[in-house]
Amino acid sequence: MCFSFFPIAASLLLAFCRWDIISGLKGIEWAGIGNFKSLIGFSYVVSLGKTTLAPNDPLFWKYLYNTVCLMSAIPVGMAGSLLLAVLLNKQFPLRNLFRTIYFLPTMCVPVALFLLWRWIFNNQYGLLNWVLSLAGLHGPDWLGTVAWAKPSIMLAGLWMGIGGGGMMLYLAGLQGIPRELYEAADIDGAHAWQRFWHITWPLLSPTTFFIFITSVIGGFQGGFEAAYMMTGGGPAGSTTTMAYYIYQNAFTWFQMGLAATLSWILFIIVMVVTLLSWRFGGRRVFYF
Amino acid sequence: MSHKRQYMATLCLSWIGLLVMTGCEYRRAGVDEKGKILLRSISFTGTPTEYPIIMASIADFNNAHPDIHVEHEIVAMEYSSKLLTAFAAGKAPDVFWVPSGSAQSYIIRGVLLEITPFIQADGIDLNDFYPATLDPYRLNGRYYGLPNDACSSVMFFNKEHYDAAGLRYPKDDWSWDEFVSNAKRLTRDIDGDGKTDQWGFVIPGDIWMLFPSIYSNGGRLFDPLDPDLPLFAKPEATQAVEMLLNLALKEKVAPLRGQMGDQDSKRGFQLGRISMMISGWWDMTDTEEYAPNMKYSVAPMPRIKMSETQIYSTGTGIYVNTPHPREAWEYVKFVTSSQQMLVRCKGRLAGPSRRSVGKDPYFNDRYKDKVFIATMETGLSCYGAHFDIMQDELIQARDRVLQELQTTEDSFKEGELNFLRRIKK
Repeated sequence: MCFSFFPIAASLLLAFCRWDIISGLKGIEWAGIGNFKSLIGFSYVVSLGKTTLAPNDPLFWKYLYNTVCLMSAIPVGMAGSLLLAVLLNKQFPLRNLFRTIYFLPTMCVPVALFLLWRWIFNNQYGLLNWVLSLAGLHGPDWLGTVAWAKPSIMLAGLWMGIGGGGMMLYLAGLQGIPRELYEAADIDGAHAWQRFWHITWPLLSPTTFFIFITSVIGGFQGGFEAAYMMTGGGPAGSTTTMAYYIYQNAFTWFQMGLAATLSWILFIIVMVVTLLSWRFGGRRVFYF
Repeated sequence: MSHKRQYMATLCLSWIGLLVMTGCEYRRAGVDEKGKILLRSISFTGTPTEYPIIMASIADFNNAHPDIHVEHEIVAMEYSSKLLTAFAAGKAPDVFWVPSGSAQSYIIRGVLLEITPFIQADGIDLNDFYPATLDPYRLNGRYYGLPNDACSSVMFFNKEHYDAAGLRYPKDDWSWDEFVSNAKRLTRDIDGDGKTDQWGFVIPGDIWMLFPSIYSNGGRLFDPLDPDLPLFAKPEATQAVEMLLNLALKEKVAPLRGQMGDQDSKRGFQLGRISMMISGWWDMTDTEEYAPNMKYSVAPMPRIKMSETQIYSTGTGIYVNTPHPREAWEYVKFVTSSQQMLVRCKGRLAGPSRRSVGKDPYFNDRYKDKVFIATMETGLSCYGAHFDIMQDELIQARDRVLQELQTTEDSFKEGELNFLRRIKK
């Protein structure tokens, strides 16, 4: 109770307050819904003689967009995890060794992995551009340009995530599918794709749904380590996510109230998206 | 209840008790185990070489003050986060280093003790400090800290590159045109593969290094009378930034970020890939350590309209709720004294914030140090109540220009609007 309920309640209270943290507890001021208006509100702005409706905090929308953009890698990651799980579910020599190798990045500290990827993406001395140069290609500045920074972070995230929890859950799901179903399909003359599409995929749908929901929740909360270790949120804020924005507000700009408000807005977004996924995605789940 | 359950319950309670006890420590507030007055102090550091210099200074203080014991902590990373958390918990150190840029935000929020009465009582000669080094620690004529170290931004240049290009070394009064002309001559494709191997200049990664050019063009970042009123989108400022960024975008005498790999300006300079860079005293220390054989020198910033540069200082302040303000002041007085400042200068930690130290014979045969010291009289400090937010907006504005997403004028205007919107919150 002390370590979970109290911080949650305190952050909810702070979401309606202004607090620069420096002044100590006596510096907390009631702000009502002011923080929410500052972050997600819109107001009319007069610019060059024209009146336009503009967001009070353009950075909030930009960073929310960045977060959602980076989440577009979730389906790719899930597909990769499923493919790996299907391959690693087959009988072949050194199967457990391969399972361990693919799971290894999940056991490593993300900070160290993102530092490693920073060097892989290095424009001049990085492994990626060296490989490209062997094919006569000139690689871009992966982390230094707005166009490439997000895909680079997605790539690093995919490498770290494909062999992780998703693959393990799919492996467990695959091992729970009764063998009789495949045997019956073989008797009926079904080929590999038909077996996958009509047996494996439907019977894995609860696992897929669980992985999707947890990935979406993780996706909204993610991006901090990558921004902190690889890009500093740049260039031009193109890799700053909601999690990094919360950190910056709290510990760089002394705006603890706004950071708490952002956290609760993020919580509401995550809750709404999860409920919608549950409402509409849950119908497609096949339980046996 | 069975014996097994009783045993488990006792074990769990003991474990919880131990867990709670690990977070507890008994100590009388402000007094160490020998009964001496305990002062907790905290500082940040840039390189490991600075550790022994700082700790030696603490040892000197403790030896000279038998009734006071300073317990010092050096924070390598996330200094402001650590300090903020300590403020929030009401457990801030009695004395702490205050970077010039953040000083006003600490003063306005009331966490620094006013030290004007101590300064007056002890007859501290404030005229001995370079004016720009004192500005960040003063509000409405009252002082809340004193600068223990300071330095300015100057132009570092590789003497061997200059010699090879047949260029004369920059003089004190060199102009922006001369600087651009030199940068063009120093940009070379040495192996003839069509790629630049030696760049004349490097766009500073550190946003602070943009400020000297803005000042030199007559621009300012904030209104001197209103530290919340930004001036960085005024033409004098944006023109200077454009002139600097165009060295990469148009003149092609400075690499864009990717063209130099992951090397920062300093490493590129030390490896001989960069001929000129804007930096401060700390890179002189770093270069002497990591590239001891490199032949380089420093020059004042090239003049656009006037000879002005950026001054940085690190001050020492006292926490407003310290139980021992008098002893804390003794410590501030000690670390900002001429004697201690000279020790730190000789340790190459930073430059002096006192004129008397700047005139010390130690610097007579140290040409590069003298260039730094000469700029201290005319330089300007940058500080404000919302300095960190301004930095964030300037970094984004600069990136938008370098990514060719916006013109300099539009990008910095957007930055200014965002800044004003954000500080209203």
